[in-house]
Amino acid sequence: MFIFYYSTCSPFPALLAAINHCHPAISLGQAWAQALRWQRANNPPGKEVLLIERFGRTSERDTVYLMSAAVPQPLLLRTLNSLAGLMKDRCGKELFLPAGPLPLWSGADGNAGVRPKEAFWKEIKALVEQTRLRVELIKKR
Amino acid sequence: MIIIFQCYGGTHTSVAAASIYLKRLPRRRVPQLSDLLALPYFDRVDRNEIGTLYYVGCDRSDNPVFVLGSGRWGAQIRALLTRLTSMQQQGRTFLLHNDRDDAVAVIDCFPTITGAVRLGGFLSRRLGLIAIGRPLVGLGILRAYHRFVELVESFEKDPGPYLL
Repeated sequence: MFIFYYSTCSPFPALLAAINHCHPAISLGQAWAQALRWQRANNPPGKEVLLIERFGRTSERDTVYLMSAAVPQPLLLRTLNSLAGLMKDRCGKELFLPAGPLPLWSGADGNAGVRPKEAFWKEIKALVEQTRLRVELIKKR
Repeated sequence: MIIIFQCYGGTHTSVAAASIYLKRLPRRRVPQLSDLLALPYFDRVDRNEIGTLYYVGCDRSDNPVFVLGSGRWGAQIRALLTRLTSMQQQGRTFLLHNDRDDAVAVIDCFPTITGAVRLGGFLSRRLGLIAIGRPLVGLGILRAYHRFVELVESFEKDPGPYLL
């Protein structure tokens, strides 16, 4: 299964979610540092906002993708969910899962902004756990 | 092939164009306002549903036809979908999994929008003034009806530029 984490304007929230999904035991500090490194290497400032990148694989052999664009999350998630439903109808199985909504990121990438890092991380972890449960349920069907 | 007619709200110009394509509306003459207002989904998709794909029927070749509202992010959404389908061409088949008919065509109906359609849509969908807004949108579409027919015929003649 292909899991998509989408965040608006900045890939940072999606990146943290992808890191947490692929490495459930990672700490906030390690995840933050890894996200900054990834961002520097793959999405330097000034690069176009539209991003779709393969991030990695989970221990359950699912592939995690990152997506970022200027499109608001609810709108894009509705489109991706519609497409996922369409693909399920055509193929007979669920192939990709758009995960979200992720918390909005108000600060510059790598800075906590107005939201404390810990609170932000907690929300990310909750969404990732929710996504894992959804994947588990889909696979049980 | 999956055919998607895309506009701002997915409820006015895309529905009209899709209905012309599906031969629910005539091409050689301008239909009655009542024909337009009776179309499924016409001026009936709310703002909080923008982004959802709505199935409107199958064409003669059995291709499913959808309408999609994308707000002012139509070009970005087309770009994202293009990237998804191009990743499939690289062997990562997560978007479409059917070798037989895996192409997606998106017809942007934005160029057909007139001032009356914009104003009517705003009154009906944003302000809830359906009694005024809905007929105004309908009349706006009928006035520029030839544009819709041209758009549909251009797609039928050469779908290439519309494929993702």
